[in-house]
Amino acid sequence: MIRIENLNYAYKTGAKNQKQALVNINLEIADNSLTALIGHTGSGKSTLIRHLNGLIKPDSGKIFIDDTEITAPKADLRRVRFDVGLVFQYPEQQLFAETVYKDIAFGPENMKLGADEVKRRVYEAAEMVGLSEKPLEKSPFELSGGQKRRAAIAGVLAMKPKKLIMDEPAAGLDPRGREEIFALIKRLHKSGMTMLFTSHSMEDAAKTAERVIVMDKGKIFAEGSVAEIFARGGELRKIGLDAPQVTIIADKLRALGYDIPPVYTVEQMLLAIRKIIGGKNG
Amino acid sequence: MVDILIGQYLTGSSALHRTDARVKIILLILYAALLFIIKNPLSYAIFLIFTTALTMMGGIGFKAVMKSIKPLRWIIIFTAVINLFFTKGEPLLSFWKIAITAEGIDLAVKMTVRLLCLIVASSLLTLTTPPLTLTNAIESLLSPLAKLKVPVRELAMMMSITLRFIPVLAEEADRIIKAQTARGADFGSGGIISRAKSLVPVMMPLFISAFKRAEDLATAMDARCFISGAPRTKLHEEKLTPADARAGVVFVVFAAAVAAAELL
Ligand SMILES: Nc1ncnc2c1ncn2[C@@H]1O[C@H](COP(=O)(O)OP(=O)(O)OP(=O)(O)O)[C@@H](O)[C@H]1O
Ligand SMILES: [Mg+2]
Repeated sequence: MIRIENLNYAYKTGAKNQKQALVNINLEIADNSLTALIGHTGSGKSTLIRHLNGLIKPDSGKIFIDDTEITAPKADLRRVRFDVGLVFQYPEQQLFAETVYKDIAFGPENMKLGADEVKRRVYEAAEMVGLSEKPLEKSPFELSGGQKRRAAIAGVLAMKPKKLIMDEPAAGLDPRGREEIFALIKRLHKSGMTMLFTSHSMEDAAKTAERVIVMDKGKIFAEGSVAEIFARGGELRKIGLDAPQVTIIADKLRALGYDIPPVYTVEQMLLAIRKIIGGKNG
Repeated sequence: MVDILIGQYLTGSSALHRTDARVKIILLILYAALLFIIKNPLSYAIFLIFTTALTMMGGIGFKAVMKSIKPLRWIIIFTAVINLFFTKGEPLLSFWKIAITAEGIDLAVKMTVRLLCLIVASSLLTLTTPPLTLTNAIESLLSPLAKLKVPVRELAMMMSITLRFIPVLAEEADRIIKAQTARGADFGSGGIISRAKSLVPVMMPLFISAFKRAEDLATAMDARCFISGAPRTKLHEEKLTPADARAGVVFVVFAAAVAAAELL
């Protein structure tokens, strides 16, 4: 469980200037949940998730990871970082080693694990993200964009975190790359990991996540299930977001008199349309 | 370290901020020259008061001033100590082979005040002038050298491009450091070798991105027909304003006061 209480944070941009990035955040993220954090550019998503493994210290407020207060003065942040994996936006930009293998091994080696254990974890993580043995001996810079991204994610997975947080995991990937990333997120979630990812895409949030947290101007704007959040399309539009395209189409069709329930994903839409067509035919 | 180069500038709208950067540079040079010819203790006092007044007028806090002095503290201490112990004259105190003389104390105090004034005054320039304005001012002041075939414009261009990218790279470095920290990287502990080694995961990605940026910038400049050495116009032509005249007058009054103190 991740619990955030009354968190405030401002970036210090000058001697007197500061930019309030987070305002009185209260949140709880349950174990084994799959949550999307959405919000307009600059709403504070990245800032918030960097707090969750102690990379940023809040100005005020508390953060608990499984009953350990990581904002306490003497918190063991290194341990927290092994428990809460954080994949930055464009993580492939942080690849540095001569081979993919060595790059993935960086995290486990920092954990001071034995050589055998490191090796096991590297292969396991590579397999999880769908990198076979061959790319492991290549230089990270020889991989394709999608492969680089997955190699970088493997670098965090190899630390076997209980919770994994990803900042814009699909940003800048082509449709196939995006599919692969979201399939991976779902797989990791099924294997028991608590997953949280940020996104600009309502579609990605709707089709992948179970819960959705909406941020606006540093505050939590709304929180709930996919259906609860995207039923509020009008409010979302006011803060620069929207409901998924299929939801909007379904709403318009309903207004035209078609018998379509609220839908949030293409699959749900397909089912609804089939029902109508099937209903007419039969 | 980045702070030394860019984190310096503090936004503000004081008279010091509004004064033309070229005027500030010239006055700073005159100030420094004056500082090294004065002899009378009263002049040193005037310098201290004037510098303090300027700092307060610029709205520069004590902290920012200390931050600019701190990296140079050893030089200040070293100079003071050397002057204190190794100036010839009437010994006041002496033990073993070392003697402290009245002249030594006098010189040590004076040198310390000089260095402090110089450091604070020069950081007032960088604290109240945005880096790009500063390079433009230097270019403008050095432009006569262009006649001697010194590539002033190119040098200024290089300087401003460098300054332009320091914040970008600093931000990137910060992000990469955070990302590697999230993977359990441990900077700043262990011996020199392990510390140097721990920098690889930061420096490698940083270099790669810097080279990529440089290449992109070169392409973008080419695409817009950049020609090295072609005459360029500026978006904001810097014209002298009443604020600059006032700065000049203030400085003349100050210089007159110092001159009077010297002649008394
Ligand atoms: N290093 C920084 N210094 C100063 N201000 C910052 C810094 N990083 C972010 N900010 C500001 O804090 C606010 C929140 O930024 P943040 O990056 O958390 O937003 P975000 O929701 O992740 O945006 P995006 O969707 O564009 O990634 C923004 O207004 C931003 O300008
Ligand atoms: Mg972000």
